[in-house]
Amino acid sequence: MILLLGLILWTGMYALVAYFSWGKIVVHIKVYLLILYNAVYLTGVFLLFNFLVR
Amino acid sequence: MGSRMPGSADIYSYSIYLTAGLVPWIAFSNTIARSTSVFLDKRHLISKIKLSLPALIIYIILSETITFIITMMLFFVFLFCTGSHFKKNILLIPFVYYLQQLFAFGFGLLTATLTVFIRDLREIVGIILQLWFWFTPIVYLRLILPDVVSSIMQYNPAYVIIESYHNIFLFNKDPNYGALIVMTILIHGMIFISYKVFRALEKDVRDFL
Repeated sequence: MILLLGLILWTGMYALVAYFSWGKIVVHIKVYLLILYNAVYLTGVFLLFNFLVR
Repeated sequence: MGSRMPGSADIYSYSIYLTAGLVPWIAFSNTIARSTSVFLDKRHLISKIKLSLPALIIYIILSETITFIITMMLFFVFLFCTGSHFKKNILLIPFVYYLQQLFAFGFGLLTATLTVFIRDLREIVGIILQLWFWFTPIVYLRLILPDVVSSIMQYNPAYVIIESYHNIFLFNKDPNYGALIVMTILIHGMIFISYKVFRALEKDVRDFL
């Protein structure tokens, strides 16, 4: 339950940050930013599993 | 369907091992193979309409995802019928698949861009995928490999992903989270480079087509 809640919360945070960042920045740097956010998001997901499932 | 794995009493263990590795590999290799020639295949569209070129690869990823989901649903039905049990880490499947398809996106974007200038790259990528398939333990076990080959297997990115599926579906073990995190960073680095190359060559790609 905690894992599921953590995943939903983390995904929601990622979606919000990515959405607002994509909307605010006009130049193509936003793609590089999205790559960075995505890397942080997936790393967070694997860390979450590592600490809550193991 | 009744082949056993060494050390396993379950008569379906090899079927599960094979399917758990083969289904993600098909999605992965199809995405790369189709992406490599997508700019050439869709040149009639690209030359007429101003459309985002990476979106063509995303479209391929989505179509492969639909096939993957349908196949996985059938696989889950089989697993439930054979009485397989899962741990909480079954929730990890979408994320491992996401990582795998990000890898295919980065690789595909780079090869799609370069194929416009080097047409033979399409055939080269096909051969690389064939060799890569046989170098990854999908139809065989890592145990049967000689020590030298087995020790370099951990550097095969496809192995890290396929091993995660095997651990979740068959061995009920946690995947190697450390390796997955390293893979995440490397794959995003590759996407960064692929996008940089694409941006640098985008104008030439459109002119060439």
